[in-house]
Amino acid sequence: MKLRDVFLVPLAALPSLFPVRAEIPDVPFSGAYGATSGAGSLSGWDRLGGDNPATLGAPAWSVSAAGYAPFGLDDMHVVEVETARDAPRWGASFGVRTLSAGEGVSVSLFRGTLAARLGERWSGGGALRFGVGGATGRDGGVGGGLGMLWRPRSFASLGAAWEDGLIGFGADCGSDFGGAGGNAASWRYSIERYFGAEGEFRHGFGLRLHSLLSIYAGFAPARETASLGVRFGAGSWEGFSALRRHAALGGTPVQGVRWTRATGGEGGEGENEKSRAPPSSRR
Amino acid sequence: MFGLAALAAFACATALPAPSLRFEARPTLAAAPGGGVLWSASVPCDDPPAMVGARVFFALDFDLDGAPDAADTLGVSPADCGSDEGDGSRVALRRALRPAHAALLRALIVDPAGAPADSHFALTAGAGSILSISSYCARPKNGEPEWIEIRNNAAFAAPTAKLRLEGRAFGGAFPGALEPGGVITTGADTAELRIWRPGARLVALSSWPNLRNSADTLRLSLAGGLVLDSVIYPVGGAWPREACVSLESEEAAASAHGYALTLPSPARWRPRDAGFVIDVRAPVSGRYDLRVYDLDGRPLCALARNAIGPVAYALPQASCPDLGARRGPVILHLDPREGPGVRRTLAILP
Repeated sequence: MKLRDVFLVPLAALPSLFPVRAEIPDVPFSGAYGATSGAGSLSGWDRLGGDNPATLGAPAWSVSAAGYAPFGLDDMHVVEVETARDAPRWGASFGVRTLSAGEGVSVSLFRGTLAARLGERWSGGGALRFGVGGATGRDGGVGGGLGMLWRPRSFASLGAAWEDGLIGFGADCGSDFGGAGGNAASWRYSIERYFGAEGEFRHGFGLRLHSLLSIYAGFAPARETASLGVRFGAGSWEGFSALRRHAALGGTPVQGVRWTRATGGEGGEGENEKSRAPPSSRR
Repeated sequence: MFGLAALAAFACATALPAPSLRFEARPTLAAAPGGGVLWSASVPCDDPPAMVGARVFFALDFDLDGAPDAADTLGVSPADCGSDEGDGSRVALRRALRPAHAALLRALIVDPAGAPADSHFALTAGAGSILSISSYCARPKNGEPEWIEIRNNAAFAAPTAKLRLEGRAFGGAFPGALEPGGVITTGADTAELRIWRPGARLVALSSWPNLRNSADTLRLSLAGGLVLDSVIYPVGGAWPREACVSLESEEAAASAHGYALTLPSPARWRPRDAGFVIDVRAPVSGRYDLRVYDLDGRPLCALARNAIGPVAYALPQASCPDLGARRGPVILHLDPREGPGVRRTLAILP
């Protein structure tokens, strides 16, 4: 057995020991992800709602909420609420995602993350989540996750996360154009690969046109889903609106809102302002 | 004197034996292997000599104009009374038909002299497959007129002269023809129909109280009595609860094409329990898939692929072996080859 296996084997066994079985849509919708079919989640495109617990934002308090009816089904509703606190060297978040699906079905998933900067180009984090089943008798459970983010160059970043039997690797690239600093426009492309029982590819594209407006698109072939959406806002508030379209099941319109209050420190107000952009200028 | 004659005539009529050349029971239509429909009927062998030279003529009428657009024929022989398919007292008849479109099928049995003896009418696809009641407004708001919309789902223009719309106390006739995809919207009386022209929408100008009755059935039929589509008004509560009821929903749109997906209520399945049956209603020649998805839209399995006609699927199914291991909601999607699909959520319990 090689040395690395000593570390990997216990990590691989962990999800099976603590399965989270709350049956809710597990692809994130909050923030940009409603418009990217979840892509960019491993690469840390958005502070809230992502799959990678190593994601950090500029020092700030932030709260995000989103709601949607999967595929427009009348009897099914999902609400996501998440709040985060980021400091210069660390960040923490807590969120809940609740599904009510009629027929007595009501399921909630709670998730907390803790992330830390590990030098200039690295960050790492962990997640703890537990599910609460409703009248379905669906088991709740406790699960954990780990994540890493590495940004070796200004135009590229790599992320990896493992959670509940699913391990994913993501990479993104992009660049700024047409300006400087917080006013620069930018584009970003992300590709992610998840391995496990529900493994899949996700592709995402983000185009920041202005500090007030960004456009996103995503494609997830395994879920037969493409999506398009916008983020817009001013000051502390911003909204996001997206439409995910499934090839057979129809569309899922998503609406949400986010409030952010910068707390200064390293990065400060200016960096927080950049957080509406695809993340090339954010981390 | 006249009364006695009438009584004698009635007595003679009732004493006459039933015609020997006839369809013994209502002929049936079912999905034929390889596509199309299988027409089945039986003819009693009461008078075998009368059956010599008898034939059954099939006429398929795609545009409801009364003229056959495709035809077929089937011989009837008394020798078949003792065949494997007959039990000696009747002849079993079967004919596979392959209509290119949804059609009105008329089966006519004629005696050796060519005189019609009995006939049978049916639609080769589900109700609403040719002409459907696509929407209606059952109780207008603020004095707006009540109205009913009829849509032509066929690939041919459908003459509407023989069309009838029947509520509890209403019967009306429409002139002209309705183009493929066209709609008629009509109201209370023939005065409003006079300003209707084929292909145009007509909104009734006055209130029409006929649609106010809960549980009434509104039928769209041909003059001969064949029901092309029907709608039962909603039941329950302090009727009317809604100002207007639209059939433009996903479910109604699928129903107009003859498809429906029905789950037991409540739609909760415990894998260890038997007897959970998913009913699929489909035209006898209609092909469809029935797939299962998770809430992220990932396809989990298919209960049916390229299936034909109405089928009942009892869970668990061998085609979805892992479904019983899941917990929580899944989405069933009935996906017809033609027309809109239907979605249902199913909660899987531990």
